[in-house]
Amino acid sequence: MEFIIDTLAKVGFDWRMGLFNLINFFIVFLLVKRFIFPPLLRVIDERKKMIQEGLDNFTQSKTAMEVAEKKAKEIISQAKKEGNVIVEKSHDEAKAVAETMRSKAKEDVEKLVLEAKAHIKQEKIHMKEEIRTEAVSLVIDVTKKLLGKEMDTKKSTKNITDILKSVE
Amino acid sequence: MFFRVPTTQPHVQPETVTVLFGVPITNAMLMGLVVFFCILIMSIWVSWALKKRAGRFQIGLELFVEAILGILTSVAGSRSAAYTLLPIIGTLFIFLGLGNLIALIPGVSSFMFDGTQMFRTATNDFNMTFSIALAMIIFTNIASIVSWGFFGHLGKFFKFKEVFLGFREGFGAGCLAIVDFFIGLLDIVSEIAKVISLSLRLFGNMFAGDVLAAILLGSFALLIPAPWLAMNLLVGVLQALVFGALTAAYYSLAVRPSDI
Repeated sequence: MEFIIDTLAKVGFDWRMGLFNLINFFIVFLLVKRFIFPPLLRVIDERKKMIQEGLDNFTQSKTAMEVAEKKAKEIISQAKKEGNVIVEKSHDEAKAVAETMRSKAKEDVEKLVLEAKAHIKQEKIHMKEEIRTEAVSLVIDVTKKLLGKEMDTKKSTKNITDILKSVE
Repeated sequence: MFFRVPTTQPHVQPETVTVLFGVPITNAMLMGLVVFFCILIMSIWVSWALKKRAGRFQIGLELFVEAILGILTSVAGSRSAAYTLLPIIGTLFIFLGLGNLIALIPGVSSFMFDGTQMFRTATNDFNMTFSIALAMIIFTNIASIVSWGFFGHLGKFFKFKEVFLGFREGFGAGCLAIVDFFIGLLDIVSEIAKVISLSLRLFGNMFAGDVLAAILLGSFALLIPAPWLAMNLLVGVLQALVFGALTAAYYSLAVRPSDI
C-alpha cells in the first residue's frame, strides 16, 4: 500500500487535487447532460421528423400522383370509348338521317314526276283540245272557201268534232 | 546549432500557481477550470441559440453528436445503449478533447503568474486522468449494480454459489468452479487495473507528447512546430476517443446483455 501511495506521489497525485478535478468533471457532466445534449438531440430529432415527414409527404404525393395518373388514364380511355360510341352512334344516326332524306327526296322526286306527268297529261289534253278546235275551225274555213257558201257553223262544228273523236 | 532553441523539460507533477484555503491550485487545475468555462459558455449558447434551421456551428455540433452516437452504437452494441451512454461519454469526450486541445492554442502556455506557467494541458496531470478514470469505473460499477442487482454484482467477484453448484454437479465441475472463483477475485484487481490503465494511458500519452514536443522543438525549432501541432491535434482527439470507447466497452461488459 505504501508502495502505491509512494508511486502515486511520484507522479504528483494529491487527493485534494483529484477531488477538485472530480468535482469539476461532475459539474461539467451535469452541464452537458442538462444543457447541451437534450436540446441538441431534440433539434436533431425534430429535423429527422421533419425530413421523415417530407419523405412521407413525397411518398404520399407520389402515390397520389400515380393514382391520379391512373385515374386520368382510365378517364381518358373511358372518354375514348364513349367518344367512339358517340362517333359510331352519330355515324349511324347520320346514315339513318341520310337514308331518310334520300327516301324523302326520292318520294319528292317521284311526287314531282307524277305531278309533272299529270301536268303534261293535262297539257296534252288541253293541247289536243286546242288543236281539235283549231282543226275544226280550219276545216270549216277551208270547206267554206271550197263550197263558197255559208254553212251552219254549229252543226258543222259538231259534225267535225264527232268525226275527229271517231278518228281518235 | 542553427535550429536549436533552449527549452525546459516539463515536470511530471503540475506546478502550483497559488494556494487557496490550503489547497494547492496547479496550472493543470486552472486549465481544467478554463475547460469548464468553455463548456459553460457552450451550454448557454446551445440552450439559447439552437434553431431548426441550423447554422454551421450547430451543424458541426449535431454531426459531432451523431458521430459519438455512431461510435457508441458500434462499441456498446445498440442504439438504446448509445443513448444511455451519450451524456457520460459525450461529456468525457468534450472535456478530455478540449483539455487536450486548448493548450495547443499558441500563446496559452506562455501565460505566467509569479514566474510559474499558468496553464498546462489538463490531461497532463495524473490527478485529472486518475480522477476521471476512477469516476468512469465507479459509473460502470453502478451501472452493473443497477442491471444485475447489488448481490448479482457482488456475485461477479465472489462466486460462492458457482462453487457450491459445481460440487453438487461433480468433483471436476467443482474444481473448475474453484478456478472460476479465483478468476472472480482477480476481477476485483482487474477493476483497479482498469482505473490505473485508463489514467496512465491518457496521462502517459499526453505527457510523453509534451516531453517529445520540448525535445523536438528544442532541436528543430523552425521545422517542427506546425507538423507537431497538427499531430498533437489528432493525438488529443484520439486519446479522448480511446478513453470514451474503452469506458463504453467496460459499460457494455458490466451490464446484462439484455439491458444493452
